[in-house]
Amino acid sequence: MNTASPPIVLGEGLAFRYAAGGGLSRADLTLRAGTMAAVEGPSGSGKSTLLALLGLILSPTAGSLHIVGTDTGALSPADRDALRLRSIGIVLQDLGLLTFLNAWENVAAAFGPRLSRHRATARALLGDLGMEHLADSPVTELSGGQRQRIAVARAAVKEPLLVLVDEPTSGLDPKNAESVMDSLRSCAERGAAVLLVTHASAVAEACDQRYVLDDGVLSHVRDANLRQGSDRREMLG
Amino acid sequence: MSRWSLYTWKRDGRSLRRALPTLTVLAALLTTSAGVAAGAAAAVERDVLGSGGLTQIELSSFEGDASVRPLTTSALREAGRVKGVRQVVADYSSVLYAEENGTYDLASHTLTPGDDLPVIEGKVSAPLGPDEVVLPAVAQGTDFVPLLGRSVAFGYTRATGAASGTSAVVKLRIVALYDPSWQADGPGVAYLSQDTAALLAAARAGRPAGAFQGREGAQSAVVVVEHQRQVAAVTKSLQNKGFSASAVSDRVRDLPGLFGAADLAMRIGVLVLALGALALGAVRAADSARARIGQFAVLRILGSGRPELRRILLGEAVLSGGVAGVLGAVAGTVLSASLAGPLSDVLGLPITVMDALPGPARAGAALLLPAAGLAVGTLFGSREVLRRDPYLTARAHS
Repeated sequence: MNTASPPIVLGEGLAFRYAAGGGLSRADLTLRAGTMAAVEGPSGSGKSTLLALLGLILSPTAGSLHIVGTDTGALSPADRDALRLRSIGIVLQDLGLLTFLNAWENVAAAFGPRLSRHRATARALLGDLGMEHLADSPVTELSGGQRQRIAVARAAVKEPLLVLVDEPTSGLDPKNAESVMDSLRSCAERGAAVLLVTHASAVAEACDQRYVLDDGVLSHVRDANLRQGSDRREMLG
Repeated sequence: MSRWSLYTWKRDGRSLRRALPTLTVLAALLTTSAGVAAGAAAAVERDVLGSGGLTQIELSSFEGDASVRPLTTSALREAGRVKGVRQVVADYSSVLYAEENGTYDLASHTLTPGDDLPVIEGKVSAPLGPDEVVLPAVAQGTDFVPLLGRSVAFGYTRATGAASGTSAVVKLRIVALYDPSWQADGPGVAYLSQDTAALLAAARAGRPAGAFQGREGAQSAVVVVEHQRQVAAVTKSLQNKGFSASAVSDRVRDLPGLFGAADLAMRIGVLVLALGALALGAVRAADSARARIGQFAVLRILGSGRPELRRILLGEAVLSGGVAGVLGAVAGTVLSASLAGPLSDVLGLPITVMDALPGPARAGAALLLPAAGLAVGTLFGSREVLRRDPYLTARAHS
């Protein structure tokens, strides 16, 4: 981890309240290029809300958020959408794929609706993940693990500076979980900041930074040096 | 319109493509009624105005109506003296029946300048001579073709009292035969010169011709003016003299019966199409957006703002409406063109396929209204659903 590099995410005092109650009370975090960070916490603690705030889907009701040096509080909704499209890849649990597109089209959708322009890139990435044979398959016919890997591929294909993933290994067998984590580690090695939200402590252990979210408050637990691949695999196994 | 619409419209069964069948039927109905109305109007206009109708005024006697001036000899002479009037031809009606060669009885009328007979054999030289007659080629089972050019004895009734009469005979030469489907004055009409028609009508009333024309007068008359621009002034002048006068062109433009019904159907069709598309858009857009909120949330995550989500729905509306407009206009045009033949039989006027094509305004309405109506309806319908961020809605549902 390079602490001298400018932070890709700088959040200070972030908070969000839903109309029906609940949300996030306070979050301070810094994510730098090349790091993988994990946020752990029980259900309802505000993990997904934090992800939606960092993904510029929700606007914080308090605090400030800088993404790639841009103060997002000063952006118009259209500019926030544009920044998300340009710099952020997101994988949200249960809100995965577009069912009217096939596998490669879902990956290419990260670039916007001009899908055919990005066919080669999308198919090549699926090939790297060993899924070339599924490129033309309707996503409704794929297994949960395959769908999750396609969702990760879609988040990574544009090589965004920030990758946000909700429960990356939930419901996956160890082999698929490892494959997904490898893909995310590749994003970090390429220079992106990767933030995972997870219930699985093994996944959190495999990350460089670890946060715990409890009752809406985010606490920083640990910074660690970049782990070796064999160590990560042991943890996930 | 968003490019996403091309995918969602084509591939997602929950998209606004579901409005396509209903809108297509509505657009087809509008186009068909427009074609039928156009065909009927074109045929009548051609028939009436094409035979000089633009320079003609019709006088009616309205027998029994004391406020209307009877069309007696002196009255018609006075009408003929109005400035701009070139000719006045009175129509007297009676009946001719078979004296030899078959069994028939034909209504008879004066051949007026307004009668543009579709002659199929022989030749009509206007005005007809007193011993000439023009008949339908076939009437009441009698084929008149073999009799063309020959003088034929026709029977007619000479009244001798209130409810009694004798039969008389008149020999007339059949100079021309017309298409029997032309029935502007009813089926199987014999056309005569004014004097002969007056003679028969007077005999039927049991009076000498001169006295009949001077007292009872004609049933109707056609006034021919010198130029189309004089029609309004001459009509007004005749009305001021107590005649029931109306320009033929005005009557054509205010057609009753089937033409009026078709025209009304077309106007209702425009309204139904516009309101139907609007209502469909409002209802379907709301349902469709609710059903796809999870997919919209994914698009939102991929960088689509709420304006783009609205543009996706609008794009689907434009595609559905546009395709429905094209399909409906084509189907309606084919249907109205195929109805040209049956319509000709019903009206007794020749209607070509070209006549039965909807005009550009109506065709344009059929093409554009579904898309415009559906789009506006979609704006209203999606407003409530898209007011909240789809991401939050989807999360709340999950």
